[in-house]
Order: sequence, then C-alpha cells, then structure tokens
Amino acid sequence: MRARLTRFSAACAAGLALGAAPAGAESIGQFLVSTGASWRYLDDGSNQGSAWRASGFDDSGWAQGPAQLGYGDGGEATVVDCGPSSPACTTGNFITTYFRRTFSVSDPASIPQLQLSLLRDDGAVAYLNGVEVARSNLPTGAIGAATLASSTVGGAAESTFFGFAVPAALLVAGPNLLAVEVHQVLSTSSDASFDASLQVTAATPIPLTRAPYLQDLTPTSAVLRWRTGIASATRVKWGLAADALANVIDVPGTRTEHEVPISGLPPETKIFYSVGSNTQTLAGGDANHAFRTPPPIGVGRPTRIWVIGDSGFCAVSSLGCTDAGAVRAGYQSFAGTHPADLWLLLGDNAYNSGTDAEFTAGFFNVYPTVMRSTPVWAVPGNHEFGASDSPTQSGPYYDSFTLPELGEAGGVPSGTEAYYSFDWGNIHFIALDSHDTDRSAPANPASNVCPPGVGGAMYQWLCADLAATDQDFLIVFWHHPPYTKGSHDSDNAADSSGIMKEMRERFLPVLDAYGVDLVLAGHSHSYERSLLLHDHYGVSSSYSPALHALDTGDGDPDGDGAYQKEALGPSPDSGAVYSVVGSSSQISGGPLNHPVMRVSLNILGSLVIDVDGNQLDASFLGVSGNVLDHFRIEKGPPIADQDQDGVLDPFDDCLLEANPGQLDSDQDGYGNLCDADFDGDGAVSSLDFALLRSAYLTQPGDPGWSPAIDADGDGVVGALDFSRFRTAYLGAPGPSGLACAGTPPCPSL
Amino acid sequence: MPSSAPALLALAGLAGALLALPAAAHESEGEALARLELALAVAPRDAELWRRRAALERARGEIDLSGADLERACALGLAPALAEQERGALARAAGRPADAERHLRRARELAPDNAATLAAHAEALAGLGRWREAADAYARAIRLAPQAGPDLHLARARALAAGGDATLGEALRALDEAEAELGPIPALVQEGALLELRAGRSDAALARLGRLPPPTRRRERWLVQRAEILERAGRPEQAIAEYAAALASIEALAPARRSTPAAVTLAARAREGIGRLSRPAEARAR
Repeated sequence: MRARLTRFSAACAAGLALGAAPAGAESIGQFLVSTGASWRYLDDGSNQGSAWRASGFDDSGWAQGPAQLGYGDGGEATVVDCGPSSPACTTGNFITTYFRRTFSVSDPASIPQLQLSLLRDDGAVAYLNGVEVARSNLPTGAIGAATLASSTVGGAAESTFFGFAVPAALLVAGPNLLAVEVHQVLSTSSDASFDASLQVTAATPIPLTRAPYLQDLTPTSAVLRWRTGIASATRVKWGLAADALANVIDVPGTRTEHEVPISGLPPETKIFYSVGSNTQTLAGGDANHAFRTPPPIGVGRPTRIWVIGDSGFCAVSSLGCTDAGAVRAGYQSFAGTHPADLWLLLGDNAYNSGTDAEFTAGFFNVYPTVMRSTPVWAVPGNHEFGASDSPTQSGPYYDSFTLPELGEAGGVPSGTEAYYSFDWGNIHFIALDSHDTDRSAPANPASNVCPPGVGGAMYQWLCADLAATDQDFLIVFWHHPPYTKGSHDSDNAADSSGIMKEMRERFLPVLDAYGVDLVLAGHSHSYERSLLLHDHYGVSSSYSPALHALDTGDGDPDGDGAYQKEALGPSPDSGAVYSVVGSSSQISGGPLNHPVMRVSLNILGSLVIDVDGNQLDASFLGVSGNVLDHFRIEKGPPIADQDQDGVLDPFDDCLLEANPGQLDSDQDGYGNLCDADFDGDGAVSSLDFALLRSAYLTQPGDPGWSPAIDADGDGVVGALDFSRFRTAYLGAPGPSGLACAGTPPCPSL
Repeated sequence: MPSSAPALLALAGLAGALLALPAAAHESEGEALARLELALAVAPRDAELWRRRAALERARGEIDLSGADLERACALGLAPALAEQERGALARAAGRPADAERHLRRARELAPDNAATLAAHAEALAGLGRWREAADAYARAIRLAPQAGPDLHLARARALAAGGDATLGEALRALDEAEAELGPIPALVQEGALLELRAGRSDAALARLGRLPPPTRRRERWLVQRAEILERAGRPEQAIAEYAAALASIEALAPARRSTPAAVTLAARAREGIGRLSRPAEARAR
C-alpha cells in the first residue's frame, strides 16, 4: 500500500502537466492522448463493474504512471502488479487491470474524427466518455472482470498498435475521459502490456463492403444491416420522405458489422432511410433506399414475393455472376415499378462452402439494388454448411442473416434461426432447415402425424406452428426438394444422403394434414412444378394420378383452369403445389421427368408469386422477364367463426357463444355453454329447471351433480349457470354447427 | 517465397477454377467426386481437397476409400482437430461407434472450446449409452455455442432422462433452463410434459402444456393429447370430454379429410380412450 501511494504522488504532477487543456481549437494530427502518456490505473485484481468507465468516477485513489504499463516484458515504463505471485507472475495473475486518462478538448466541433491506437497484451476494451469505442481480442457480449482474452498474444503482436476510428461526436468541451480495461488470456499469462494514443484525424471515407439490407421486417419493426471495411460508428436515419429522415438511431461504439433494429414503424407505409456513421452517410437518403412495411398480421393485401434458389454460384464462377445477374435483371424487367414486397432464398446462397467471402461475392455483391428495399428471408442449403453449423447457429450464414426465432414476425417461436416462421399480411411462411437440423419424426409418419413429444425439435415445432396459424395462405420453403428429377434424383435414397426422401416421407404428411398450399425448394438446378398433389410420400413409381392428384391440369387460368381449394384459410388435405426453383445462377439439366411435375424446365430463372384476395398466382420468369410457366391456386370463401372462439363454425358445438374448450358433457353435439336441455328432449323446459335446481351448488362427487348442467365448466353448478339457463329457457339447445347436434349420443361417439 | 511459388499459386488457382466449374448435368455425389479428382490432379498436395473427397466418399458409403483419402489429407497437414473429427465421422459411418467416440474425444481435446466438436462428441457418447457424459458434453456445447438451438437442449434433456429416474429432475431442470433461454418452444414443452408424466406428476404435465398457445385450427391432436394426460391423471370425466371434443372435430371434417390415415388413427385413439373410460372402474383397474 505504501509503495502505491508513493507512486501516485510521484506521478500526480506529471499527470496534471500532461492533462492541461490546449489553447484554441484542436487541429488535424494533434494528439489528445499521446503514447507514453501518464495513466491512472488499478492493478489489485478487483471487479470494478462499469462505474469506473464514467467521467465522474473518483479515481484519486488509483496509482498513476507513464505508459507503457504492464509487466513481464522488461521494457515497461510503469510496472503494474500482476497478482499474488509477483514478481514471478507465474500463476494466479489478475485477469483485468483498469486504466483511465483524462484530457481536455476546447472545441469538439472542430474535430472531424479520432483515431485510437491501442497496444494491448492480451485483450482490451476502450471507452470514450463511458461509451465503448474499441474492443480488441475479447469476445463479443458483456465483459466482466473475469472475462478472458480471446487468444494469446505473442511476438510482434505484443508491440503492435491496433487502430480504431472513433466518432468525434462523443467528445465534449472541457474534460474528457479515455478508459481502458486490459484482460489476460489466462491467469498464468506471464506478461501484460498497455499503451494508447488518441489523435485528431481528418474524416476518412468509410468503405461500405456490404450494402444495406433489410431483415425481419414486420408491420411495425425492421432490422437494417450493412458492413463497413473499417470499424465505424453506426447511425440509421429514417422518415416518411427521402429528404425528411427525422428519426435518428445511433448505436454506441464502433464496429464493422452494423445491425440496427428499428421499432415504432407505421404499418403499410413506405419508409425511407439512410445508413452510415455520425459523420458520414454511406447509403440512402434517396428514393432508392426505401421499403414498405407490411399490413398488420391477418390483413390481406396484394403481395408480391420473389423467389430464387441456388443463386450463389457467382461466388466461384464468373459465369455464375453472369447468370445470376441475368436472372436478377429478368425479375426486375418483369416487376418494373412493382417490385416484390418480400424475397425468399431457397439455399445454396454462397458456393462452394458458404464462407464469409463467398457470401459477399455470391449474394451481397449480386443483389445490392434489390436487398436495399426488399426484405430477404433465407433458408440454408447444403453449400452453406462448409462453414456454418445449425445446432450452434454459428458461421457465416448465421452471421449474415437476422431471422425470427422468437415469433417476433408472427408464428410459434422456434428458438433458432435455422428454422422459423413469419406472417406477412394474410400469408404464413414457414422456413425449414433440411440439411443440418435433426429431421427426426415419428415412426410411420404418414399415419402418425404429430404425436405429442415425438420427433426432433423441428418436427414438433412445425406441428405446433401449423396448428396455430389461421392465415389465408400457407407457404413452406426449404432447400432439398421432396420431388425432383433434375440434377438430383429424389427417388435415389443415396442422393444427398437421403435428405430428399426423409423430407418427403416425414414432413409432407404434416403439410398435408394442415393444408399447406405451396412448397418451394431448390437443390436441383432447374425449374420443376407439380400439379395439385396430396398424400404421396413414396418414390415416383408409386405415384398414381387417381390417388394422389387432386387436379391433373396445369393450373393456368388461361389453360386448364386454376387449382381450386375449397376454403380461404388452412384447408387440410386439400393438396399443395410443389416447386423446385434451383436455376437462379446455373442450370444442370437432368431427365426432368418426375411424374408429379406438370412443368419441368432446364432454364435459368426465378419465381414471382402474387397473392391477392383468394388467389395465389405464381410465374416462373426467364432471364428476359418472360413468363415461362404460370399457375394459380384459387381458394373459396373463408369459413366463418361467428363467436370468434377460434373454433370454426362447422366444428363448433356452440355457434354463437365462445367456448374454445368445446366442453360437451352429455355428448349430444351441443356444448355445455349453449345446452340447457339437460334431459335431451329438444327443448329447455321446466323439466330441465327441475334438474338444475336439484344440482344447484353441487360439485363433482356431490349427490345430484351433473357435469352437463355445469355450463361454464368451472366445477360447480352456480349462479352463472343459472343465469345462462334463464337466457335459454323455453328455447331450443344450441345453435351448434356439429353434424350430430341434437341426436344424443352424438353418432360419432 | 521459394522460386516455385508462382507456379504453385497458378496450380492452386487452376484447382480452384476446376472446383468452380458448373456442375454437370444430373450431378450427384459421383459427379462432384469427378470434379474433385480433376482438381486433385492439378493440386495433389492440397489437404483440403483430399478431405473433401474423403467426405464425399464417406457419404457414398465408400468407407475404405474415404479412410485412405483422409489419411492422405492428414499426411499433407490437415489440422489435427479437424482430422480427428473427420475420423470420428468416418468411424460412425462405418458402424464403429466406439471408435467414433474415441476420435471425437481426441478432437475435443485438441479443440476444447469448439461447440460443434463437443456436440458431435456428445452425440457419439449418447449413441454408446454413456448418458451422463453425453449430457455433460451437451451442456458444455450449449455454453460455448454462439447461440445453442433447441436441438442441443433437447438432446441434453433426453440424455439425462435416458440416464434413469435419478436424473429425471435434472432433465426437467435442463428443459426449464432451455425454456428460460429460448421461450416455450414446442419440443421443449412437450418433452417436459412427457417427463413429468413419467414421474407421475400429471398436473405438472398439464401445466407445462398450458405454456403452449392452444391451436386455432385442427384442434383434435391437441385435444387428444390433453385427454390422454387427464386420463392418466385419473380425471375420467374431463378426459372423456376432451376425447369427445376431438372426435367431434374430426367428424366435422369433410369426408375426404376425415378418412386420411392421420385422422383415422387419431379418431381411433380418441375412441379407445372413451372406451377405456366408459368401462366400470373395476374393469378399468384390471
């Protein structure tokens, strides 16, 4: 303790001298903090939490000394305490040492930008006036006193200064604080080093290495992402006109990967935006950088969807770039002034291994003009998994996309970005991971659909998600097609490790049972599109039009006529169309003769889906925007649910009174809530009143108790039940939508 | 840089270009193999190419060929941890689970903080019935993963539950931890309900199911599941009501939908449930 006080006293004068405010405005090149400057430091192994980073923190009890500070290397100007094994510093060394340096600024407005140069062994986080501005060799997320550096630092790296652009907007006139915490990689690490400088620099252009793209768009929120070549501050501005971006979102700190959630957006509204830093706008502020928020969930509006599959060949082939560009141009030519509202990627978005560089080359560099205004929803293909991993959600695929895992865009939470669902207006979308997620399902999946607690997490989630949706249209997409005779063969159990067969046998019965309308996949580098199909889970030779085709026509309203489904909303076992859209950056042919396919083309292209009212139109586009295939799914009017209890009228045992539990104790087809005809004679009369009176105030087990008289199902015949009886007195039971109503016991029982 | 370096770089570039050639018509693993062979002819000392060929051969069931290529990759400097992981995958594909576990254990020793390696090792341990070790490995993988998904949490809970009744409570706590992190994910909730039932706690099972939002359509599966739990909980009247509601829902379907295998199976379950519960109590007890 005494030695510490001595050091503090000796350094105090130097600190005052170094901390003196420069006269006049700051100039380019000026050091606000120089290397070798004197720092206050705390080297006692304590946990300082976060208060120490604030300007007002009292560090008068800390030691002080000139940089370089540290131990173990021999060249330190100030040796800090390493821990209990000092001076050998062999074991039990303190993980974190804290440093603070106050400096003065006269005119913050005169400073365009700052450059922080940081020497750290092993890792460090720097804060300017309490805001994190640099992190080096430390993990992402919260940093505590026990957080270890990410890797060992040795050799030349021990004396390397790492540079960070720091936003000058963090400066204030007068005293400012630069605070740094240095972390060891291990408690046995034998050395530690720290020095830093902070210099006034001219504003340097920040390179935009991934143009802005839209993620996770909901009626009221969005996520904007982009990447910069150097760490920079993060700012999004948005508004209702390109020249009126009144809303500003600044994210503290600097980074290269920028991901900004925006909330409080108005539904069905065009939003303009710009992205950049506090000093520079990198993109936007014009008519091209805008998107339209979707309508509230459940509200049907004309919706256009663009679908591409196996689009990432540009990452490894100039021909792939040419072809992907042509497909994109074809879509843009077709869409004209009516671009898609949303965009689906069917996997293999980045060949060959899905590395970060391949994602940049194969996706982000190919579609910058689309992704700035159209939100993209992805599934992974097999080629993503050379570098990514689904169980741990790690790697470039998961780093590149922000996808809903908590039901934030509608649907049941999946807990993972590997598979998820979302709603867009009156359409429910489901994205599955066919490659790297457990595809387990029950035994005999065709007849044993969705038994509780059986199968992998994805299977069980799919069951729950489909059971929970009430949307007018259901679209499901994943990478490996259940039916194809293109560059892959879904009949061949060895092709693609049997994934196509597994998806067909295990997952299609669930989709059939819940009335999915359209299934999209890629993998084969061709376009294939089925007729209206159901209940077919075998190889192509087992297909029988009589058994499996609900409509063998082409589905084209100008040809054989649209595919008809009886009701708007989920229509179980009413058939689906299966489409392979895998030719968005290359074609690979194949026999293209799967019997369920109505159209098979070895042609580059993409799919545009238009949903409007009770119609879903899909058009396969060639590279000149010409329509090479068109089909329509037309659905009947919605099924009513008059009492809004979630049970549709044909299935509801009380049509006009909400009883989601459907309790019907006497099994006569009328739910308890609307059935005061306790004796089953077809009328609510004094005879029924007598039964009510004898059961009044009884509970299960009491003499006279009858569950059928307990209208509200609360376990006691009470005042509420009497009140309901009065309403029904002298009327008929019901009304009920059940076919068996009024014929006790219900024949179905 | 040695004088032959430019030539080597050119060869490597050619190998990359060969790999990037457009896939041939009807490309399968066989065609992909052929393309790799072309690339290997140009860059025969590229360990990664040999590893990729070994992986393709493994997928085709060509175990011996895959093993030879993998060892070639190792001799050419494939990273030891990756080599052990690939050996583990190969042993697994060859039906040698104990060997797979041994290699994956080595991989884990070489890369102790790699969540994917840990998960693979956990799976191998589970395959050998070494439940406790598997559960611990899953737990560590979950801690180290950037964002562990439901698969890992579910596998951990199932490993603990497979370990016997002594670890049932631990399995349920693992599911609770997962739910706290991920929310009421269907598989986690359902698994919890099944484990509660196994422990004889029907109310707790129903309470877990109550965390899931009830479906608005096709309620019959949900109703049958609730009915079965109520039946096991000794609440026959409520169970019958739920079974009956499920049957009514199925009966209300159009004939074509009512006659699908899934609907027929479900209706049979409901009818059997009602049948069981309609018998006198003594008969039920027998």
